[in-house]
Amino acid sequence: MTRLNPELHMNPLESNPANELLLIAIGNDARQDDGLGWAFGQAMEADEDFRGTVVYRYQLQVEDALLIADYGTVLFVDACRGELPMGFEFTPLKADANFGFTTHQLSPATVLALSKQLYGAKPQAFLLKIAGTAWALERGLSKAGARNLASALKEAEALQGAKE
Amino acid sequence: MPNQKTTKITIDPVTRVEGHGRVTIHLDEQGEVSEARFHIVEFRGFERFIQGHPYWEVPVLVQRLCGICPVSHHLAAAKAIDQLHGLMPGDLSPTAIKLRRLLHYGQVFQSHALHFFYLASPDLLLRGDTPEAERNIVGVVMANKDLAKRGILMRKFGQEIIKAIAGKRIHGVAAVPGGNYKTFTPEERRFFLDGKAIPSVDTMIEWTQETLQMLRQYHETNRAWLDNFADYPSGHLGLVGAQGELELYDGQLRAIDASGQRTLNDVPAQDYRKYFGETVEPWTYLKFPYLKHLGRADGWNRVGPLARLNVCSHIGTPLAEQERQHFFGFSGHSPVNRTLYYHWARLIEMLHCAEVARQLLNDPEILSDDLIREGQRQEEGVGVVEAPRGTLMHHYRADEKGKVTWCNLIVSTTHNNEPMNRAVREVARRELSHQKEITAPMLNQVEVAIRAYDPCLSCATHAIGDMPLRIELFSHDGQLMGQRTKNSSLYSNPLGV
Repeated sequence: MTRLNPELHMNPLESNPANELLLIAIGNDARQDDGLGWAFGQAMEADEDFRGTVVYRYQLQVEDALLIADYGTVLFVDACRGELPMGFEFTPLKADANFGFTTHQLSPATVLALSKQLYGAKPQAFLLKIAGTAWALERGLSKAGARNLASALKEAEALQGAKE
Repeated sequence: MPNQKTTKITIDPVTRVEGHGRVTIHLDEQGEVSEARFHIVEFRGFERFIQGHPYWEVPVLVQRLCGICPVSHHLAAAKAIDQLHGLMPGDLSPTAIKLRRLLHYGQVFQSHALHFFYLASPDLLLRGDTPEAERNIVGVVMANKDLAKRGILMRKFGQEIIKAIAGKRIHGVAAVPGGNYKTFTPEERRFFLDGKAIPSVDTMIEWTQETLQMLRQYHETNRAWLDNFADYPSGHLGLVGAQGELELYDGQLRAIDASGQRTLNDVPAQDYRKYFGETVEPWTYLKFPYLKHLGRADGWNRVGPLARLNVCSHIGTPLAEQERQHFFGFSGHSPVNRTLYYHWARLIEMLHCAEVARQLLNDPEILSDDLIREGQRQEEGVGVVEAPRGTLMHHYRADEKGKVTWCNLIVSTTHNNEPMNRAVREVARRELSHQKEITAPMLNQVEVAIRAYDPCLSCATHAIGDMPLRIELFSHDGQLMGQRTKNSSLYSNPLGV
C-alpha cells in the first residue's frame, strides 16, 4: 500500500538495534498546528510496534548534531505551512548547511551537515512534513491539521506493517 | 525623517507568526541615511493567552514562549507565582533557591555558548571577504573543528544541568509555587563533577578561560573594527546583588546612562512598574520600554551581557572578576558603549556561570529534600531575572479562584529594541550612505550589528519555514531603490510562503 515518494527506496521504520531509529519531533503544542510534529511523536511512542527513540524539540540545535551521530536512522518530523497533496510529505534528507541571519534554530539538513562535518556521522535521514493551517497561540490542532496527522500516522502504520 | 510616502510601511500579516526581521533604510536628498529601522514583525499575544489559566500552571505554560530560553521564562514566572503564593524570593528554602540558581546559571551558560560558538563566531573568526555562502557555522567548523566540537560540549553541559533539575529538557518541571519539584541526587551531582560521562564543570571553566584568552587576542589584533563598529551612547540596565555585584537570578534593578551616572538606583525589581513605561510604534509589534522619569526619547536602555557588566560594581567569583577588570582596563571606558564588546562580556558571564555552578554543585545543601514552603495567597506577583539576552520581567494578577486575570511581560529583546535600531542606524549611515544598491557585504554588516544583541526572533513558533532578513533601501522620495533578502529556509524545498 505504500505511498512513498517513488525516489525513496528505504523505510525508516525498518530499524533494528544495529541501525537504531531516532525520531525527532519538532514543534510547539501551544501553537495549534505547530504541534503536529510532537503529536506524531507521541502517537508513535504510544504504538507498541514502534521500535525507536523519540525526542521532542522546539527547535533543532547544534548539539542535535552530536545526538544523531549515535543513530543509524533519523526521522525528523515537523509541521509545515502550505498544501501538500496527501497532507504530508515524506522524503529522504540530504545534508545542507543553510544558516539564517540570527535565528537560533537549525534546519534538519543543517544538523545533518554538522553531524557529518564534526563527527563523520552519516545516518540515513528522512524528513516528514505534515501540513498545518493554523498557528495561533492556542492548544489543539486545527481540523485540517488533525486530518493530515491522521494520514501521516496511517502511512506510518502501513510502513510498520510492511517491515514485519 | 522619512517622507510621507515612506512612512506608510505595512507589515504583511502573513508574517506575523513567523518572526522575521526587516530593515528599512531611508536616504535623504543628498544620499545620506536619514533613518534606519529594524522591524520585528512577530506577534505573540501570550499575555492574553495566559488569562484564565490557574496561576500554578503558569511556570510550565510560559516555557512555550521560547524554545531557546524556556528556563528563563519558567523561572521569571515562578518567582512571580511564588508571590501569588505568598512568598518573596528570599522566603524559599535554601535548597530550592540554590537549585533554581543552578538551573538558571546552567541555562545562561548553554545559551551563551550557543551564541558565541555558533552565531557570533562566523562574524569574528571568518574574515570580511569570506564568501557569503561560507559565512556560517559550517565555515567555522571547516576552519576550526575542535572549537566547534568544544562549543557543542559546553552547550551540552548546560543542557544536562537543565535536564537534571527539571527532569527533561522540554516540558520539564523544576519550579513549583513555593519551591522546587524534585530533589537533586548525589548521582546527578557526580555526573557534573567527575568528568566521566561528560566533561566536568572544572573543564567548563578551563575551556571558557581558553576561549576568553582567544577573544582577548582577537580584540588586540582587530581593535579598530571592534571599537568603532556601532559605537553609540546609551543607557544600560540590569539586576545587581545586595553589594552591587553581577546577579542573574534575583536582585535589584540598576540603570546607568552612557557616562555611568545612575538613572535607576538599586530599586526592588517588584516595583518595576513605578519606573518603567512601555510604548508602541506603528511599524513594529515589539514594545519599547523606557524609564519614565527620562521619557521615551532618553529613557531606553541596553540589556544583556554588556549592560550587566556595565551596571555591576564587581563580579562575585574570582576568575570572572579578574576578566571583568581586564575588560574595562582594555577598553579604557566605563561604561563600554561599543556593540561588539557584547561578545566579550558574554564570555565573561559564561565563566561566572561556570564558577557559580561549581560552587553550587559542591554545596551539600543542594542535596536536601527541603524543597517547598507555604505562604498566604496574594493577588499580584512580579518576577524578574536576568535572562541570557537581558532583563526579563513577568507580572501576573490572579483572582480569588487562582485564575490569572492579567499579565504583562517585558522580554529582553524588547528592552534591546531601541538599541538594535540605533545599532542598525549607525551601521547603515556608515555603509549605505550614497549607495544605490545593497550588496552582500552591506547586508552582512547589518546582520553583525543585530546579532551582537542575540535577539530571539524565533520565539514560540518555527514551522513556517522561513526566517529571512530583508533590507529595503528607499530614496528621499519614497521610491524603493533596492532590496536584498537573506533567507534561511528550514527546508530545502520550503512550501507555501
